[in-house]
Amino acid sequence: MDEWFTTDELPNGIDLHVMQTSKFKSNAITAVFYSDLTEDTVTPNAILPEVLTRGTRRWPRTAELMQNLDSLYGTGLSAVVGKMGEKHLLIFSVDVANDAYLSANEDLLSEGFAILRDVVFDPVLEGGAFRQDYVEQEKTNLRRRIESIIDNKLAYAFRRCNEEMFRGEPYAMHRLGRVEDIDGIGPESLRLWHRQAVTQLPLDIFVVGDVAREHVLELVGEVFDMKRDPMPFEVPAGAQHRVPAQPRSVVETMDVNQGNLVMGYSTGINIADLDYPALLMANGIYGAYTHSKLFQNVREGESLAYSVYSGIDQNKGVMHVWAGIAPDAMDRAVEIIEAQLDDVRSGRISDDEVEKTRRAIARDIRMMGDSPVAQIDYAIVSRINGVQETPDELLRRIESVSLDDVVRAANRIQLDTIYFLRDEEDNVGA
Amino acid sequence: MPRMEIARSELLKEEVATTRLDCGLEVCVQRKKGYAKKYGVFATRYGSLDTRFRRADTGEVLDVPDGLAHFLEHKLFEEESGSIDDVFAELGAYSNAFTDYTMTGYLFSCVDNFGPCLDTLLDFVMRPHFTEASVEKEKGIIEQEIKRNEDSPGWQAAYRMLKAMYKRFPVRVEVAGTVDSIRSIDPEILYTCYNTFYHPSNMTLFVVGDTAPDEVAERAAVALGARDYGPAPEVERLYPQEPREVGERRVEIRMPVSEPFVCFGFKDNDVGHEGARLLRKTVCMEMLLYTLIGRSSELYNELYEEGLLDHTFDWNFDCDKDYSFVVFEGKSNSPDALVDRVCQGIDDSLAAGIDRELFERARRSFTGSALRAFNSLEFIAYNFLDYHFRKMRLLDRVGVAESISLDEATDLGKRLFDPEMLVVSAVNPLQ
Repeated sequence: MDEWFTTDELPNGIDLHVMQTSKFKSNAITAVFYSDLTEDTVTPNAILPEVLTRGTRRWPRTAELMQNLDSLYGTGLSAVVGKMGEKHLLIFSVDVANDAYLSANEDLLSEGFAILRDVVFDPVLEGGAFRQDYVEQEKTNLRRRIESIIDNKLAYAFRRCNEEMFRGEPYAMHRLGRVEDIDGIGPESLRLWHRQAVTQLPLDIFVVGDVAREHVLELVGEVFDMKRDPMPFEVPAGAQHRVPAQPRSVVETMDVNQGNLVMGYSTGINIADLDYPALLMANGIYGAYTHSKLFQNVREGESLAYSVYSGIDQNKGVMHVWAGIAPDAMDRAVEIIEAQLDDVRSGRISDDEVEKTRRAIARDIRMMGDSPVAQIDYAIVSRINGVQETPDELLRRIESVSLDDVVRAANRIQLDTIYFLRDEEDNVGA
Repeated sequence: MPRMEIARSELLKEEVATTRLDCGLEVCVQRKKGYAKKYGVFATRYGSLDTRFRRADTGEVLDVPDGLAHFLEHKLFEEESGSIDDVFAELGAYSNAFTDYTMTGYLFSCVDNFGPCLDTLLDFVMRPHFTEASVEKEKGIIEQEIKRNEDSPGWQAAYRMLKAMYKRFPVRVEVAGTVDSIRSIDPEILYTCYNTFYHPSNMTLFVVGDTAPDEVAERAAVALGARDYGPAPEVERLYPQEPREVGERRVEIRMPVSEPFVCFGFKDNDVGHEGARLLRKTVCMEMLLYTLIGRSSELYNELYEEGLLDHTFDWNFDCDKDYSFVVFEGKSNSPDALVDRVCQGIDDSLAAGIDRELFERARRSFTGSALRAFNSLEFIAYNFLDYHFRKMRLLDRVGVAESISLDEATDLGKRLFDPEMLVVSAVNPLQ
């Protein structure tokens, strides 16, 4: 992976990051606003992308806005809210076909930027506020989306584990916000927050495609010439999380066939920590892959689970282990899962495990170069955590992680919360 | 080795090179310059539908348990020395496998060590090793996989719709089988199915990535060359005769969900096609559905504004040589109203005649989206053989879209959206 982003700052404080590559048949554009994860803004943030993609001043009806995307050769448009550590992100993306492949008369790249600008900055308004019908419909839909997390039992178990583990901290909030705040949102208040957000929140624009940096700089300068008064970008300090002396254990029942076990661990290591490459290795040896200890022992050794993995949040010092198991197998599963981690902590790791993991992580990092979205995500995470390291540089650090480094990182991992969702048998707790 | 044949798409600026090795294996390679990742997919024309067949050499008709092809896929991953995942991990590669109605595929993706990965893929799939103990152990794992599916409302709705739509054709049976059906599986029946369906002449190797097609073919020839696979077994797949009508019009279950989830679809009895004809029908249907109820359609937006559907709403046209159906799915607070309105909206549009401008816009959208899809090696790796086994060319999707007329699409719609063929499957919340 040789290419990486080149950054320019526009007069109105927008940071433009461009990567030129001829690999793809389209140009990917992403605009990201960085908001803090707070009780006041989490729910308005969650609803904002939904309302903004309903209509713009130029294309007031949703069907018209979408038909315009059709005319521009199926230009992709997505607007989502993302949670990364204690940051809450508004992410707007457009993917336009490269005209070189089409007999298009339009300049698709310019049109792509224009759509992005319209959606973000120039919504359809009624008397200075958002359209009431759009806001009401999206409030209903947001409520339904939050309530439907329960329909995916694993996602629900994750959410519940997180709520228990981070009770009282901002990180306990779900990226989609809080049901109890939805009623209080109206067309005027949301529009006020929108104006404040798009003029004051730090904004990055990422572009990946067969485009020259100078050309993009000129285009973006023309299209995104609005006045802005952005706050400086601040890397969040990260709330201090206190691990309980005894791990919390929460068991809930529902009418399900399979038990979903999610265990939350505190690592205290995010991407900005010197031990991050060592933690990536520790997590790989422990549970990220099919060659990892968890898969080998919980699934292959004991046939306890179809899926069992561990994963780390690179923005927040957290690791999760999740397993789909028989409802009566919780104690046995927790015991084996913990035993595997103890093996990593005490260095009971073969050279084979270390090298397999190192190769797998190197592969995953190098594969990012094949996906514009993966590269933009990596750049956003780096940005949030104040890290300036290209994937190639991270790769070199992975190459030099030693067994001692792995053991040191693994010893920073502490079990915090065990959450188990199981069936409604009579013997619960027995 | 025979020369490789080249299929090219001028529009996509992509090409696929194909050849057949002496052992009977077909090799297809799509080179993607500049990509770091490489995929190898090795697949056989054998899926969950093939539970009853006759081999010409013995003349015997065999009935095997539901879920056997999927079980076999799991077990091929296991070697005497452990899981084949280990060997791929050693090479820094990722490996996986999948089973659907008509095929079983094994794949790896890697950045380095492509040659050894390819050798490993060809070697392990061609060398079965099934023991009593390992077969018994696998039952526990697959049981958890089946139970995980059973807790998914989307899976339940889709599976129950097909069970209601088809009276006899085995698309009504779940790919993994059931906890009961897999119980009787033993090494002997696994070997029988393996020997019937895993002959190189029934299989295709597909590679996508920045790698030279002739080198892939030569390496595959060397990897497979030393063995004698014997003559290709002649096998007749015995599918039951499916009556024209659907089994049940409406099915429903209750689950712990926040709101109803509905799957509804139309059975299509116009089967028996493959190749260019089936590709044309597929693309025609996709364009028609997009025009009628895509994100930009008036119908979709009307139903969205009324709260009858949300962004989980989706559709799919699933057609193979021996079965074909259209399916719509999504969350809805009022499934029956949603079904009525979608069907009514489609009927009205077809009766009144679709606006030519809308159709042209859908064509543009289809073209650009189909083009963009070729950015992704995953998309190509997972779809190429799915098309190829139906004698369709994935590369031709974009070109075919250019020649489809509005009349052709309208006629297809009028024939396919037959109210007699409609089946509704709802998952409702517990009371």
